Amino acid sequence: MSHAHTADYDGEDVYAKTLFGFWVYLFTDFMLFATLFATYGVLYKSTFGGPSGAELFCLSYTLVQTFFLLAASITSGVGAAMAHRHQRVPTLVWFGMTFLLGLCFMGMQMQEFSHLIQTGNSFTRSAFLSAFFTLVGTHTLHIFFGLLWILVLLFPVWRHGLTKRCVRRLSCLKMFWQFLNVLWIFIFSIVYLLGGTT
Amino acid sequence: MQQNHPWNREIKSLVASGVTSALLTVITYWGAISHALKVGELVAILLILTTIQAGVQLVFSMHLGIEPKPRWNLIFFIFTVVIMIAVVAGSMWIMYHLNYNMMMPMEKP
Repeated sequence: MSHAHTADYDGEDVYAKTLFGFWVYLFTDFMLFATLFATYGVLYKSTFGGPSGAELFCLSYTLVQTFFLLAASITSGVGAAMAHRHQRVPTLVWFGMTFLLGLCFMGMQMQEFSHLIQTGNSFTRSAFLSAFFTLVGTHTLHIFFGLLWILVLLFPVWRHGLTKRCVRRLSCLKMFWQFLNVLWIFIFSIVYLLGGTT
Repeated sequence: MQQNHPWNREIKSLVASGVTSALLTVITYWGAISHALKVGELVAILLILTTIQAGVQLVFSMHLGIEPKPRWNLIFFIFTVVIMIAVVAGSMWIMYHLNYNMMMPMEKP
């Protein structure tokens, strides 16, 4: 790519600083989710006579979701590696796969939410369901913004090629998707597996 | 950056992280649905396996801690984990004892 060597301010130093800044953002997000996990941990028995997790969750459904998100995390990693090699089309293809897998995950999550709400178990039913919808809903909201972010970043790559700035931003995007997967495995184990079987 | 992290090694570590994660996910899922374990054991094993899986992804996919000194990412991460444990364990501990002392029905998990 001819853009790779243009004399702009995008050196190694800026790259390292940007990635460090993004890590700090991810850590604050970890803390946000820690408070939501704490809320869930305090309220998960408070079903107010309503259904508990064991009656609501379909674990095999959520297992499929988990694999969609794991695959999205890996494809985003491969996409970022392709971007570092300045291979434009493979970058587009792998991040495009991340987008589709993330979209499947989010579709399944919205399907689950709408099923819960339609059967009368929305977030107003009990403190347990409020905590559940807040925790899992916040994660789904992150997925939604992750999907938007893929589109926003891939458009200039498709139009103008892989500049150093694009590579740097795609590296942050990759970390965001891998971070979403790390969060999800805790939600999967603690909320779904433990809530669904005990 | 690219010289330190050749492309092949990057892909290999991604695949290793993905395969390990998939295996651990299947094991936790099977452990939960098999009902072979007591609740306390299940909680402990799920927490341990999930923490291992998170660690594998943080190190092998996100390269946490694999950076030149000073390792600011790692220092911030450890600080974050300490705060998270304080928030989650502290909240649950306080609310459990509050419920216990108020005679509210909340059996220990």
